[in-house]
Amino acid sequence: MNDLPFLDLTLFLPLVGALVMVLIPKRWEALLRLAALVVTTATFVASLGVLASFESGTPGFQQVTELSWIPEWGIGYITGVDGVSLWMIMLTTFLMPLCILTSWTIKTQVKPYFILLLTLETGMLGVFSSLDMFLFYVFWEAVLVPMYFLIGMWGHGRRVYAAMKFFLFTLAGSLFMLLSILYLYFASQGSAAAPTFDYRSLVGTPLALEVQILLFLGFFASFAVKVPLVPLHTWLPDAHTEAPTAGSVMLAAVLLKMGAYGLIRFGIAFFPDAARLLAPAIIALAIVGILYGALIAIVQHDVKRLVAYSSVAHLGFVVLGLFVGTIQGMSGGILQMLNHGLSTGALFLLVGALYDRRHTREISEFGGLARSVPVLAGIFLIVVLSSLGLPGLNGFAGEFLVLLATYQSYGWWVIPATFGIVLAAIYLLWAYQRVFHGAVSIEANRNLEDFRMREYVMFVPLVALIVAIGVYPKPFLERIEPSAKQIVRQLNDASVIPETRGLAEAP
Amino acid sequence: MQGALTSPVDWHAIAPELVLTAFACLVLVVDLFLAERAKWLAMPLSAIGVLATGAATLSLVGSERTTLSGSYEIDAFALLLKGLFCVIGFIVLAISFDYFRSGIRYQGEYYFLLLCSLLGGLVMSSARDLVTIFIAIELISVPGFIMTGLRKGDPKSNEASLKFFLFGVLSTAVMLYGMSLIYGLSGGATRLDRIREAIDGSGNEPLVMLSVFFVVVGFGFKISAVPFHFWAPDTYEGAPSPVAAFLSTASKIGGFVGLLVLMFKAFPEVADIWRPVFAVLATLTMTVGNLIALKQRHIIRLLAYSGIAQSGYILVALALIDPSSPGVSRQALESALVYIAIYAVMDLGAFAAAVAYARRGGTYFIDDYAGLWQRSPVLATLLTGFLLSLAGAPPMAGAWAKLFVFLATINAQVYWLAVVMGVNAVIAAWYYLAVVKRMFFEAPELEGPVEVPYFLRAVMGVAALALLVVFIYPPVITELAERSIL
Amino acid sequence: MAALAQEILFWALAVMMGIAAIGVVTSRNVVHAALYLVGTLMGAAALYILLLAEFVAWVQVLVYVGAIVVLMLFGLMLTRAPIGRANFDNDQRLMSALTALAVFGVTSYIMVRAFEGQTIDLTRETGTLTSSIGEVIFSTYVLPFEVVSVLLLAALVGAVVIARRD
Repeated sequence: MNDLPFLDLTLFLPLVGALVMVLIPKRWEALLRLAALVVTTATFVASLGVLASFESGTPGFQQVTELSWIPEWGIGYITGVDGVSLWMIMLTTFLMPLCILTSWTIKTQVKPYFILLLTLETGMLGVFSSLDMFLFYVFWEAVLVPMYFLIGMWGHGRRVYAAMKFFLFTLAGSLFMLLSILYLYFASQGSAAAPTFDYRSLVGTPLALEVQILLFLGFFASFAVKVPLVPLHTWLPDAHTEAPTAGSVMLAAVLLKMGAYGLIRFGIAFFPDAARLLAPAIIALAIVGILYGALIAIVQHDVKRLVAYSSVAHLGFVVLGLFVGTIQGMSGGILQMLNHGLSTGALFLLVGALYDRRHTREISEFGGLARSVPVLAGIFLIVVLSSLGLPGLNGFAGEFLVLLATYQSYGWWVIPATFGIVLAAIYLLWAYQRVFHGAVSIEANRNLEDFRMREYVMFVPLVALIVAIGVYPKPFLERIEPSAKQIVRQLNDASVIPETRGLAEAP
Repeated sequence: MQGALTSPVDWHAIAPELVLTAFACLVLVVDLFLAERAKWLAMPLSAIGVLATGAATLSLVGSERTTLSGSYEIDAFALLLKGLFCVIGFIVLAISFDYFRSGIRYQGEYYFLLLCSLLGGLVMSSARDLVTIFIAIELISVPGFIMTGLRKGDPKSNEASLKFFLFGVLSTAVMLYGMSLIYGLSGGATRLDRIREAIDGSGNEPLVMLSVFFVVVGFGFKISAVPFHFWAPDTYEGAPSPVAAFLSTASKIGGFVGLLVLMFKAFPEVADIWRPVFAVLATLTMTVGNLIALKQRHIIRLLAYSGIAQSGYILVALALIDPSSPGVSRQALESALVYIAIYAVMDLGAFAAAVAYARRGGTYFIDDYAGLWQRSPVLATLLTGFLLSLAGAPPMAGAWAKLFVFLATINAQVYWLAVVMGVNAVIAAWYYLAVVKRMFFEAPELEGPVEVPYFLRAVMGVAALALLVVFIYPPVITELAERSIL
Repeated sequence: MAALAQEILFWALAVMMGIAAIGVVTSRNVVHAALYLVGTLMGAAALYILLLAEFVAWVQVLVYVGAIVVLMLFGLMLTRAPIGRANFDNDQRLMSALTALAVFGVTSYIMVRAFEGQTIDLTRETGTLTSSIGEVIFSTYVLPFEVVSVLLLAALVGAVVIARRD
């Protein structure tokens, strides 16, 4: 069983599926939907293989595949997982079938829609599993294109504006990352035998502090846009709000994590000194993000926009955890990445379900829905509670660890961060109350259809997972911790190595 | 000096040129006997000629030979470029067919001129001698002047032709003046390796600088580098669109080949003098080209300005050459070759799609591309592929082209140029995406399906597929380029 | 003595060519301009003779003076092109004069610096023999020579296409 390359299978199944779907005539919409569902489910099953063969307790990379790609430049096809990427991959494959299900309501241009979603999945999985910097960059860029079309063609309202903004913001950020990657490549040339883009050889390349800071900022430019950190977040509300439901779910649950993942995997691991030095500033930005996102969320009158801003706040917690410099913080941050993916993904799915019923997202258009759609309301409540970090649900474990770690390392800085949780409770519960409780003021809300079979299929596993992580986070944390420990050690132990090189004398 | 008998011509070495010349003359003669309705037969004949030339080029693969006292060289570099010129020729023929069959007289003459210009490209690839380089660049340009003016009834075409001609002649004069100075400086040598030796020890830095400067200015016009680019957009717009496609690829690449050969073979010792010139040219070319492209509403003009910006990336390679570190120079040249090859295919693809659309139910105005996706999914997808490639986004080969130039730039430690390229890549993405946005995100304003001729569709499909394959497995092109450095 | 005569002749020719060249660009009458051009080209031919390159000199006279300028004059007379003070002028005179002066200054300064004091002793042996030109054209430069014929053919066909009345 261990012989099967589950990781590569997971990675390319969606792409192969997309290619096969190109051959299906576009009139056969039912078949296209079904094919997409089958492919994504098969991908999820394959990723379960990755999970099953994952050995917890080891910090390094597992299930590594190494193939030569462009040998001349030391570019290879190298993939592998560790505790950081494992849950991101699982999250992606888990949410994808749900996204396909929620897209049952897409009626126009069905064929390209599903093909793009599948291509997107391969792109995202590639980002999380690449161990070659060039491969990583290619996947990173490859995610842009399908997402651009998904937002632009099937989005709402100002979709064109949102799509262009999304594309250009991300592209601009990623070009700085590219420059940093290339610099690193040439800087490593001296220490490694042959020049390589292999992540594992690049880690630990000795660099002078000022070079580290410059390169770190190069990566940071790309990741901070994706995460997003205030003030680089302005693309997010537009993109998340205007995207079709599946697009929003993927954006919030996975694409934002790509930024956080990049910060851990590359920002911290490559440039520990720079990361340590800049940590207070980044933490300050994260806290500003927590408060800013929450405050803006309170005043939103569009449910989807509210959820989008809540993401800004939640990702602030993630970044906070990553940079406080303790194992609890790191593990909590990584767990919080998974949690946010599940909760916010679920929130977007629910908002999509509401939109499908009422074709509006204005909070004032709703009210008293709990009476007409009790099941939807119940599920919504569970997800809201998980999102605001109620003990016993998934959001609690991650946020608690992060806040604890912040208190230990940064003392009173924890107070504004904690205040963010209070604000989250305010905007989420207030919005919930306005949508589901109170009197039914609009006639259209009286006779809405409650959950259908398809929606039960979507939400039962989701809620089960939300509860499972909340009650028993151990299996998740024990796979994260060894890798988190290793990264934190890199962050804290590494010091400027005597044999350093400045910008001028690099090869 | 060797007599005619002591240095026999290596006929096999110049077989591609001979085949192409034969076919060019054949096209001209056959055209005389064709009825007006059958004039289009010149195109298949030319296509066969280009294919035969390609075959002759392939028969030389693996051999390294020089002929004509070392002034004509067949090496991997020359063969790669000859092959590329054949590909360009074939695609341009495919684009031309529909356009010329139903619009313009003088089909036979057009195909003859096209083949002549292509011959110039083939000669340029092998030329290692000042005289041959000069004749080659002229053979590339002169038929271009006439082809540009083939839409005789249209004042725009006349203006385009005249503008192109005047700028072309001016640049030739400047270039020739520079070349004659070099000839004098090197004591009467025309072969590039002799010039290199002579210049190295001449001690006449200012005069070398002046003559190299004149040559670069002359070539600057040919490759439409800013600030010598003024003719390009008007010429492209006024010319028959297939001719514009040809000018923006074959003609431009011919100029680049000449420039690369000269800089690498004749002037590497004085690289310190001209490297900054190319850095400035590259920066200006990219930035100005992109900024003006932002405002274009006519697809051919957009492609013209974007082509100007694209040549900036090739100029970057010339700004990196450093004779004291062969690794850096090698990489720079390699990245330039990869860029040239990929650029030719993607740019022609975009032109092909634009021409196909304009001839079959559309216009050249970008506004009229709205909703093309709904009218012709195939054409919209293909054009998107080419535009994404030009923008340097996955999953097309253009991404690698840009990445390799970045790689070479970082390796040469010219960081500021890398930043300039990065900023330009984002600007360029904006206007390429603006076309994509129209095609996919907006509702169609024009009605009716767009029926692209099957042959053109097949050629575009193969081009797009090639770009995709190169993206997935870049060694296809990188190893070729690696083996083909001068 | 011979060297001095050569020097005097050179300068005389150079001044004549310069004046004629200025005449070409400043003259407002096309026919005058063409005649001035003859002066410049003839001067160049004379310079070639002075350098013992008689083949190039005669080619210069035959091709440029004989063929091109005469053809130009014929063209002006036979087509009803405006002869006389035509409106070929624009308001860029000052700019072009300045540019030309600058290019002239820089180029001649650099040239003089590069070759100052160098002399080539021209005798029958070191001068360019017509036979040696023939030899190089048909050995080393045979390919460019043949390519030129394709170039001329293309130009010819092109001229026909452009000139023909549809």
